[in-house]
Amino acid sequence: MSSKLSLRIASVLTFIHAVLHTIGGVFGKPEPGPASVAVAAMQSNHFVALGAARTYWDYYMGMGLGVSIFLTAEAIVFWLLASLAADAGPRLRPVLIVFALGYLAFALNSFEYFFIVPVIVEILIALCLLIAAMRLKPLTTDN
Amino acid sequence: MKPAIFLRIVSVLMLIQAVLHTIGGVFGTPPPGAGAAAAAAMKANQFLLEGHTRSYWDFFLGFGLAITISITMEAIVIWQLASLAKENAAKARPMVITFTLGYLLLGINAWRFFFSGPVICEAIIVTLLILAIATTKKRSAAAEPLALSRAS
Repeated sequence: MSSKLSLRIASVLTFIHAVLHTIGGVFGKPEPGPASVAVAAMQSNHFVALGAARTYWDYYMGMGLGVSIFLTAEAIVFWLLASLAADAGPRLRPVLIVFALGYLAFALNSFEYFFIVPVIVEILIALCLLIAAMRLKPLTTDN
Repeated sequence: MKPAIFLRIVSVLMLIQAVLHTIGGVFGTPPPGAGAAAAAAMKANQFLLEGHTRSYWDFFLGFGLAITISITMEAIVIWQLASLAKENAAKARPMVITFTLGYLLLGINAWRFFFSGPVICEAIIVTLLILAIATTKKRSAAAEPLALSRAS
């Protein structure tokens, strides 16, 4: 598998991750019972934060959508990096390794606080990024 | 100023933002009264999710730390892009534009759901990224005739 293809797969997986996270994790309906009780408490308890009236539900939505924005931007960056892979060669390797380590950190975070599906997706993205980093070809004089 | 310098400043600002977000936003003590009551309810009401016992407090910490990881990762990548921009600014430009749009959306998101601190920080980051893009364009345009004259 070439660097370009690995990065394109990482890009598509990251975009799918962003969409599913937004639909299920941010705008998903809480289950009846304890989850609904927690959400009701989050929505009804207002407090002032640096002059703004806020709730923990605002924070929850804001952080959730923040993650959606980051994932979407990273999906686009992976696609752009795929286009650069042939031209830039091994100079891209440090960038890809940083992203791979970041996605491994995401997987650990998801394992600790969420559930298995995002863990699997984030490990797959990290693997694609590592494969892309390893498969970068040295620049020839033509480049 | 060169685009690489703007990108380096952005990288440092992002790292500062990651630290402040983690200390204040993720591990900060909930405000007394209504904030503490909501946090207590989030921790106390646990439920099963795909075989794991979770709470909305877990989700809150997980989202918060995911943002910490994203900001830190992107801060390092932007530092690396500054090096790439020194060699060939035009190649780094599409990625810088993507980060600019992303941080613009994060600023709007922070304005809607958080407070002025992150909004100001993200506005400064967006401004510096736009300056990096603008100086890249000028430098590329200035460099083009040189490249053509070398070719001829």
